[in-house]
Amino acid sequence: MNNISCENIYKSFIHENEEMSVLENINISINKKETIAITGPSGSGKSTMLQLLAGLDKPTKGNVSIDNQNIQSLSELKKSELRLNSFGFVYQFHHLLEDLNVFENILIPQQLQNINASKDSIDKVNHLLDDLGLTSRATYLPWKLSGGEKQRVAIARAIINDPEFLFLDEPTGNLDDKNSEIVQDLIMSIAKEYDMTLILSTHDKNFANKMNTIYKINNKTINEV
Amino acid sequence: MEKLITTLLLFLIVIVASFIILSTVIMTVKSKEREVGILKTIGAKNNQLISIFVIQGALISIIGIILGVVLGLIGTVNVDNLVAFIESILQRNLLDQYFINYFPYSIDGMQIMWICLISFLLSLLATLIPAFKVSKLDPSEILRYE
Repeated sequence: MNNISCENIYKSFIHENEEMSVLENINISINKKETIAITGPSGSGKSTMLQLLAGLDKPTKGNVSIDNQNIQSLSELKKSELRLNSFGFVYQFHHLLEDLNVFENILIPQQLQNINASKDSIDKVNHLLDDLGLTSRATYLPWKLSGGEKQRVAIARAIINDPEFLFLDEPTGNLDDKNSEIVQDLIMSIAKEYDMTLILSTHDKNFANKMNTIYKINNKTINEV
Repeated sequence: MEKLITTLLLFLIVIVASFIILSTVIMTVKSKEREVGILKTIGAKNNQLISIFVIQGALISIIGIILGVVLGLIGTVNVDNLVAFIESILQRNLLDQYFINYFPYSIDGMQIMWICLISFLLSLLATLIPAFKVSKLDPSEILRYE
């Protein structure tokens, strides 16, 4: 996978029988190994933009293409495989499975690839736990972790299958300054180490400035800053 | 005639049990929407998600069938003691109005096997309906309102 592009994207939602337009005439192209930030005020459509780029949501009009192939033309199975093998997601609210411990949460994407987790998978989880400073938390359930630790677990889960594209939806939006700095540094070092493309939505200017390209969503349209 | 009514009653019991499994799986699917959304985002395939709920339903049904057969057999073999026990509590003879003064029974292995098989298939069918609803869940919609 080398490129994700949006052509003339429009997205609207129906709210109380009224059509609400969120994004209009969006055209952007993201190449492999690029790091981009999508900024804008709350409710401007940053998360929606990320969902569209990742094929999790459908545009009302226009095309989202991956290597020139319209993502909507892919079968559900192909889209799942794409998300499992090529995409990683980190959300503001970590979205960990509360019944599973840290180790099991990180292992899930490997198990989805191969139900019988091999020794390699287990080694990979242990390696990530070590890299992210979570070894001592391996058997903890998510509710026992701090906000920063939860987000580090979510990052580990997002990168365990070595995705080419990492989608980050306000990953530091729920953290204090110190933890936010730790998570930002971690994300930047991971992108460098694993040659990942970063697609970040944030309204943290400092974090956005760490990316190669910054886009701003304003009045439903997107422009490079 | 008695046999037909007994069969009909048994069939109704199996149908009710299947509906209980149906409602249990519907409730589980509803309460696990967030987890389904997360797993879909990570890349879980629909068949993998469906299998989670089908396996859950199948396990409930297998445990229920085993318990039902074991308790049913214990109850049948000890039916005379059971009748005597109930009579001692109620202080009256339950079989007074009938031509017989005992409760007749026969254990037919083949009949038990058929009932178990039909019960299992019906409950499996009941799990499929809510399980397939999982494939229709939209992860972006679920996680948006988290």
